[in-house]
Amino acid sequence: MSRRFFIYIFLIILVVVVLFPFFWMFVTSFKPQGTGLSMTIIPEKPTLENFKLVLTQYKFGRYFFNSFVVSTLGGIFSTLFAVLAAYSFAKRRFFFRNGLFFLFLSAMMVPGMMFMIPQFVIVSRLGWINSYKAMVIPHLANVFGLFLLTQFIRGIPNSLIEASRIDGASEIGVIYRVILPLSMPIVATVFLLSFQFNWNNFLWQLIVTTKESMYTVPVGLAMFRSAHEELYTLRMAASSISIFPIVLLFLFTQRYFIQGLTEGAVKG
Amino acid sequence: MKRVLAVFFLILVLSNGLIAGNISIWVNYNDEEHKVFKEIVEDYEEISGIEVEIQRIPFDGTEQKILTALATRTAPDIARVDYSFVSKLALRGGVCSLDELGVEEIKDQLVPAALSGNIINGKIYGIPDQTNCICLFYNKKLFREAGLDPEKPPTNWDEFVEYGEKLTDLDKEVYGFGMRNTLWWTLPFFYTFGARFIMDGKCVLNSQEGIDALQFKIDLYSRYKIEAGAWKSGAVNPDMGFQNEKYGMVLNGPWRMKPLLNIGIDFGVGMIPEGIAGSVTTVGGTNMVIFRGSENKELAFDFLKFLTSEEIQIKWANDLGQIPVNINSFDDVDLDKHPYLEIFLNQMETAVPRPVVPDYPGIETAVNPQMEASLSGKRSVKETLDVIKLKVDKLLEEEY
Amino acid sequence: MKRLFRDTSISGRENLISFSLILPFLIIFCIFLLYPIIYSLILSFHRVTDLYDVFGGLKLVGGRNYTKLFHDVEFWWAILMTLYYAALSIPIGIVFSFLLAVFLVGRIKGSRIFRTCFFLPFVLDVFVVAIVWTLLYSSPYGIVMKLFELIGLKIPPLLSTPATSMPAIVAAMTLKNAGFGMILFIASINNIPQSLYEAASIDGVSGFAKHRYITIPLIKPVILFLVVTGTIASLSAFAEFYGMTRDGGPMINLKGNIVGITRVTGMYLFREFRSLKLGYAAAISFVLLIISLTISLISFRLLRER
Repeated sequence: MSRRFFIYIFLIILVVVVLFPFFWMFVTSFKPQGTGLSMTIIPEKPTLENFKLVLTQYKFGRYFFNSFVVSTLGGIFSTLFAVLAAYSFAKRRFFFRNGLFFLFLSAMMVPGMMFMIPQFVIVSRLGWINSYKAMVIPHLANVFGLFLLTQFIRGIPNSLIEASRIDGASEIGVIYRVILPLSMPIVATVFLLSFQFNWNNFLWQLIVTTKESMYTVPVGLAMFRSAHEELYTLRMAASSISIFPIVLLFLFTQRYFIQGLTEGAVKG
Repeated sequence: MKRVLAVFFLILVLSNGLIAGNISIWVNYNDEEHKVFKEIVEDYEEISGIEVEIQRIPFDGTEQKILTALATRTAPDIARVDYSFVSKLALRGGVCSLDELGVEEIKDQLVPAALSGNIINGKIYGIPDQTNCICLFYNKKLFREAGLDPEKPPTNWDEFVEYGEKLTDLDKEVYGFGMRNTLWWTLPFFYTFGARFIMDGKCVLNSQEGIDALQFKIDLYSRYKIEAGAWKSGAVNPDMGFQNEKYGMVLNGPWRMKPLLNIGIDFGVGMIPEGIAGSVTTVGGTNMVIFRGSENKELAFDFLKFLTSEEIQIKWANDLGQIPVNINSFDDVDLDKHPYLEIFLNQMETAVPRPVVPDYPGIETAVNPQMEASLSGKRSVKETLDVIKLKVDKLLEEEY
Repeated sequence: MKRLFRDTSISGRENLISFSLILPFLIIFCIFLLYPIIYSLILSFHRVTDLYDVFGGLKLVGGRNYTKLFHDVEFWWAILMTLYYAALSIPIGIVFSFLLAVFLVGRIKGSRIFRTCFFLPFVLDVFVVAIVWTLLYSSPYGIVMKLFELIGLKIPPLLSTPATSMPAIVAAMTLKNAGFGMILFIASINNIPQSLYEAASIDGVSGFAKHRYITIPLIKPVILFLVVTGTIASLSAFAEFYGMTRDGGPMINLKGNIVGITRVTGMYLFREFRSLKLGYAAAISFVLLIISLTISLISFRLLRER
């Protein structure tokens, strides 16, 4: 009894600490402009001005739409490609498998800024500037997700896959009926992370757009910084709005994250 | 009506000997500035018949966007860039020299301290579109509480120390001064003590004047104990400290005026305290460049001439409360509307131009840690400045 | 090498199916990742002299970028500090998120809400987290300082003291990121068949030993994943350091060289890239690549799944 009590106290304190940045971001977005760095936590004169400015002065509606399209497409396709490839890496044998895996991993180890110029040149030659294609396609090879899924799928018992094959399932069928249900928490995580990656990807989305109508949320957010000052309150208001879809997405997909293999739930 | 206008513009254009066309420009102004800039562009379009396509981009990411655009030859004709980016672009063939376009005829009207950062190997590669300098901001409320006259900021460094000691009240966690460590913010100390940063392509910061200046800055923290340690990493920086009324005095620029007025801080602005070489400031600001691949260089330059002309700069100064880049505009700044601007205009008269170096941020990266080490007492001042000289000289010699 | 190619016995059909599953990923990879990497490799032996021609107009400098790099004390220092950061943040992160998972894997009341709360900060912008923690740590006004004062402990300003600046950043980042590791651990613990634990209980194995012999081996893939991605993240970490200690943190005097405690490789690379030393930046990237690859290979060896 008392042990459980202490665990709860401990967890609650941790939650407060862990969520403090969130709380601060949210509270700051109600502070009057210019007081973003004030050290009083609760605003003395709370205001909705920041939200109003963010939502009216900029074309945030448009930015949201663009971001939503890009992140959803990016999330779906990169997760799909990663699941297909991860299954192959985890459960199939093929020529140069380990070598290829390490080649993929190495791409993750090269700092992102080195990709910028050559990727942009390709996209530009293809005539993709100012299109969703330009924002989505170059990031569809999600090595991080591939690695994560491979690690996870490896742990799925081979017997389940064999059973499914004996039932006459094709490889796609095996993935659909065995792999996907069993690795749903990880698939959901990979989707959420690549959604979030695209949602926050500032630099790339900035350089492939030259029209304001194609700007995305992070590009719009960056407008709050000028040469010398950062409009913290505006930025926090915009960040609060911007993080909202991600939090919502997480809450809606929560059950997929939490669900695991409960015995007997799997039928071939 | 439309037709008449069209004919009128045609004549205007022909008489200027220009072929009507369009130019494209990337700017990274803030909201207010962008609004005024758009008005100026509209005026220009009407007068010249040239179409100007404005693309607003965020300040962060400007350099990367330009870099990638150059590689694919999709850069605009003009862009607004930070001072330090001009030399990087110029040294790698990114922008064209404005000498051939006739910068000669306007260069004498431009604030010399702002223009000079654009002169690389004897040629002008950019025109300032905005300039600023730093002054002393002080909190009138804290002045009153310390028994000081809130209308009289310190005029020299001795007074500054005296005021600082009165302002500092450790029980209330209030300090007289909060300062930054970086080179740009330290240059006023060096300049007021009569030190120079670079002369004839060599760093000369390790002169006796330089030593005295840095020693004084260190003393503010460790001997007089009027400085809060705001320069330490992770400390409450001067902006935050001043805004929260914890630091009585800070150095800051005109961009900080409006936010502070908005919050309702009771503060005043004074000149940088005088040292043996008077009251001297550093200069900041941004510049307009024309890219080498532009097909409308003449038109682009014509627009820049318009942008920096006397009348337009008066408008810019009065609408935004900023320092004009055209010297001829100084007398027409509406000081009733922007009373504090007078101090900045006066301070600008004694501004020392920014050092012309191939890579200014690279120099900051090399110098700042050294200065911080001597601020925190890990190395003597003399030794620090000798090392700084060596490092800067090495960077200046580097091939680009 | 032999190990990589030993599978030549695999049938053509098997290869074909395997490769067709990888194909979409592979195509995107080759065009948008492999090609830029090869370009960067070439770039690392050159100097960019004309921004209008970053492909043709390169000046060959041979290995000079690399020799310059190897002679730069600050680069070696940055690597050392990055390894220090990795050595602190990876184990602490893994242990912390594993503990959270152990607490929350069961059906204890409210575990769903707790999981959500711990995971949420992971999706928060590093920028926001950095500002908040800077405020919390700031001396003498920050809450953390006040709390320590309250319990009568006099601590130095955390971010500006050489000994504490790195741990302070690690603490902030661990709290932000632990939720991710927690989710992975929960998912993989849930996938361990309950029958294994039951069988162990029948054999009279105690609670702790159950974890030692069943849980730990079965979550090894997650640990391996966190070690490898943690290493990569450390070597390119930038935003958290830039946000909390702009210029490289407190400086120390290392045999006459002034070096910053938090001047990590990500920071070093960023500065060189911003100076438009593109060839030099490419050379840095390849040295970092080799380091990550080495650490990853060692981790794969050590944590081999059987």
